Amino acid sequence: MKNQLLHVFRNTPFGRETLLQSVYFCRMTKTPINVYIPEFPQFLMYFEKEIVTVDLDRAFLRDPETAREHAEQIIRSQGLKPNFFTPKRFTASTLPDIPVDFRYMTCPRTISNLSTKVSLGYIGPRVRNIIKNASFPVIIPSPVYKEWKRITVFFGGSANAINAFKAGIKISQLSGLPLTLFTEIEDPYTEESYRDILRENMLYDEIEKGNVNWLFFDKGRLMEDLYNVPHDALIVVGAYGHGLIKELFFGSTLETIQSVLPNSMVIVGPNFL
Amino acid sequence: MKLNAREVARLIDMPEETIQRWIRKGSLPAVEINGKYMVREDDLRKWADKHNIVLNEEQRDTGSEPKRKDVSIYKAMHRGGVFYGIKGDNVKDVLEDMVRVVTLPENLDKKMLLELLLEREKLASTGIGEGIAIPHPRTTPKDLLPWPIISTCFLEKEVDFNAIDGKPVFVAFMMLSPSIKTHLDMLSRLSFCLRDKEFVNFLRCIPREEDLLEKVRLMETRLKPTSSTQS
Amino acid sequence: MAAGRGLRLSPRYIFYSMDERLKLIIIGAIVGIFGGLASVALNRSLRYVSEILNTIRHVRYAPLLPAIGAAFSSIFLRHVVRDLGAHSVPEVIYSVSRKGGLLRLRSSFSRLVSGFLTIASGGSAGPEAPVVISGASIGSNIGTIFNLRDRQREVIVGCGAAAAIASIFNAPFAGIAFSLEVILGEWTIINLAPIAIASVVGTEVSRILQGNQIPFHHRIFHSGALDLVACIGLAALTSLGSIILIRLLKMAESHFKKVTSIFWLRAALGGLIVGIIGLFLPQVLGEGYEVIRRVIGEQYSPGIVISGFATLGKIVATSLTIGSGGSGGLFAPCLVIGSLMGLFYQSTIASVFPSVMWAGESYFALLGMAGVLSSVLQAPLTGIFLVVEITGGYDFIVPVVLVSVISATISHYFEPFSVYHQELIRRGELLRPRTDARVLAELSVMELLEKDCLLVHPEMRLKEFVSIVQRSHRNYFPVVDSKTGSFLGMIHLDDVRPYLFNPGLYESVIVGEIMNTNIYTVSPDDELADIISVFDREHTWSLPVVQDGKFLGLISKATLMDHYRKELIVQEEK
Repeated sequence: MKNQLLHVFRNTPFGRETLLQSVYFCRMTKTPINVYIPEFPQFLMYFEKEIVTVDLDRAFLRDPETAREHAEQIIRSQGLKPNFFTPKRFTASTLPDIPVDFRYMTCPRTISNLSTKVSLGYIGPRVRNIIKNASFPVIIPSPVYKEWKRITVFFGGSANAINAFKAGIKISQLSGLPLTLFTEIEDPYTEESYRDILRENMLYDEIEKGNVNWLFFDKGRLMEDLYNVPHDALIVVGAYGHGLIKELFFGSTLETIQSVLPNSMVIVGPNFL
Repeated sequence: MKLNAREVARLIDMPEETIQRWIRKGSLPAVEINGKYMVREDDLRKWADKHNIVLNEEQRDTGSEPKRKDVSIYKAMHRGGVFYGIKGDNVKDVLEDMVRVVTLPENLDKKMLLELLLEREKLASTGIGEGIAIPHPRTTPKDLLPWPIISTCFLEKEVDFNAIDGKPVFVAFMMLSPSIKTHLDMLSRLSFCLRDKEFVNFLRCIPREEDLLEKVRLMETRLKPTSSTQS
Repeated sequence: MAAGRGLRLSPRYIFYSMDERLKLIIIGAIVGIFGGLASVALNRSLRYVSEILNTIRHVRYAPLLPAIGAAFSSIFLRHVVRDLGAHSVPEVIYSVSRKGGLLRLRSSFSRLVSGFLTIASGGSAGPEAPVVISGASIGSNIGTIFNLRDRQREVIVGCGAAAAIASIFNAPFAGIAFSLEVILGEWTIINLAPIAIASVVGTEVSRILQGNQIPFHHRIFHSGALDLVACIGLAALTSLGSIILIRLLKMAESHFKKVTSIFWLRAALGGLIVGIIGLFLPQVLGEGYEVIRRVIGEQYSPGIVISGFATLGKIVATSLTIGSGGSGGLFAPCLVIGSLMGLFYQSTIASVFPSVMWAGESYFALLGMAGVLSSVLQAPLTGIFLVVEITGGYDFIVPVVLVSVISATISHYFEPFSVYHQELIRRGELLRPRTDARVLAELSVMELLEKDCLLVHPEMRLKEFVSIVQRSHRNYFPVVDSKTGSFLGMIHLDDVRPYLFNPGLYESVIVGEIMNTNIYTVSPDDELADIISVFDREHTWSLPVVQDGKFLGLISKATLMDHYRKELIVQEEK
């Protein structure tokens, strides 16, 4: 599993768009794709400290006969080799365990509720739970397939933001697409303090090499500033900033971003390795 | 002192993944600092002791000499020095005189060395032909010798060493190496040089120390590095 | 220990720096309290509801009750808490053997509720399994809160299970035995202490709150040598009963699946049949503690025929309730079946040999309980301790041991594994600590991967290959495509040795011609147990690990052996 991307396939037009996004991501980052076509309405992910139970909405289980065919078609159309995941372990006979050592996983904004709920500003509780526990970044694709041509990393200085930057660098290196850092300067800090954070984490090299374009905004109006994020950018962002209430909500920055930007997002959780 | 998984992995010579799993499973005592697992050095030592796991101490301070085995014969000869006019009519006397004159690391007992050399000579002659001998002990006093040493000794007069080709020996390279592997590496390098007729003739002229070492250095640059220098 | 340094240290710090064993004991005690509370909660509510329901048992629609209860119970599990999974205790064992004792928080109450619905309405199932799951899940989640590692969490899960059993039966030893024998599968000092504490604490909690579940006053049995001989017969009978129970249960499960795919209808159907049986044999309904109480109190002597039918009825009802998807365990039904069977046996021998002064009915009923429990669970110690603790007298120990051990041994022939383990063993998931399977399951291919091999390309001439051989310290040379990097084959030094010393071939032979393309490759996701069988089958020492066509490294028997041994060493508890 180590270097693959896990995609749970929903055999609906919406699921097609999601899969197309995953396939595009895989193509750009040269990551093999692994598609799970669910046979049971639930699966478990045993993370290090928590089991996440993922209930799938019924659309996932629709038409299992055509599901595989559809998925294969989509993957082959993009020139990738289809790979299907068959669960090896079961907690109970109808309750498969999905490994948690993938490199990426694609989750739609909601995985348990019907896709009619998919909208900006809503990320389902299961998806949040996966992000909270996963050691891999979670890709939340835009509802309609759209290719991205650049990468924008939101950097607010927290440990998660540093991980997001690392993940962003990785994607940028693999895909050869340009990377932009987006920083909304928060009150006591200055531009230099953000640079210092990168220096402390030995990541400033990337900036010095000139590969990264760094945008600073200091008006304190995140909502408006987000308009500057290109429409064809893949967003990479850490799940939490400095916030305290980590259980129910992500950091305020992420909540704002995910409710304002329609772009595809890569969310890096606190357990990212 | 706290170690991260990679350092522990190096210490007990297991992959980092395994160490991380052991920590996760609770087989290896660890503390969690900012979401990363760290192992206290004391804990690790106690744990390793309890489970009879040998720690790979020398692996830790990389860059120290014993790890990167120095198999340059130029350097070894430089360390060992060149000596002229070694006296003696037979193998035993020659070796005795050689051991007497050469400079050795202080902790190396000359008497013991001589015994080892003679013992090896008893098994089979170290005369490799063309008037050259490479006396060396069969087993090397490991801890006493951090680096390989070659002491070049020109004999006062040619001595019969029971060499393969029966020719009497005029020069002896006394070779001491910390390990068998280094020994073989050195030997193969040295014999590469000695296979060169021109070099042997050069030796017959009993060159000055500087000339000899310079010549060896030049010849050695032509040699491909051996496997152990690469790793 | 930190007291000397004053109050500057926070309690949290003191706790985290505490000795592992002490920490586990303290957490075990906490889990014991919760396990005890869970069992008291379920028992209290069961008793309360069954008192109400007893007043309407004679109503015409009473047989529908178990059906409604079972249907609600399965709907609750499926749609309210969305806790799928049919078998309960095996899930705990699976988690302990594979997943470091991780259990879901929802399991700590979901089974309590669904078990309550099934049993209170009259379904023939035991409350122990729900309580065990609940206790185990509470333990697991408390362990996670305390930041325990996998192995410690496994022990705490065992604590939860032990506390549950101990508090239901007021039998701390049975709790310990159950946890070690069935759940954890190993006895070590590190395990024993916290589990014993949890057991005792759990027992104490339930004692304070509700008193003894199966009250039985200590008395001396007047038993003779003949009774002991008769025990052997009882042992055979109980093992027969257990085998029937296990087989019927399996049959019921597979047949109900065929009847209908609607899960709640299935459960309701099972409940309905149980309800109808209950019309004639009300003893089979519910968890049956009341029946046990009366039987061992010798207040119930129905005679050979009724007790025989009741035994069979209970076996059938239990298989139907659980096989149809009702929620609950086998523990209490086993005890009921055992006690009824003992009764039946006593009446039988009393009528066949009327001249002998047989020991009382309760004597055989208790032995029957131990026998059935031991053989269904394949856990004789649990059976022995439970019955000994219920009777409170150790003078009873000889016949109990006799029946338990013989019964477990006989049924072992026919049903070699505990009902809790069967499914896991079939799937190869029962991994007891420090067994071959466990060690292999924990190691992964990526940990054993040897990446320091020198790669060669098919268009290389033999001469170049020889120079690579010179530099390498391995006997295997993977061949990969120089452009795409995909794996093509391998060269084993042994196969090509003769050519290596033939300089005449140096220019004319290329690697592509001498490589072996017929090579078995393994993937990093493969199980080591499977890889070992490949090693054996292929008679090789090294296998290439290939993923998506790319060569990742070699896996060799030698490294495997080395890691295997280290794994065993570190799994040892010292």
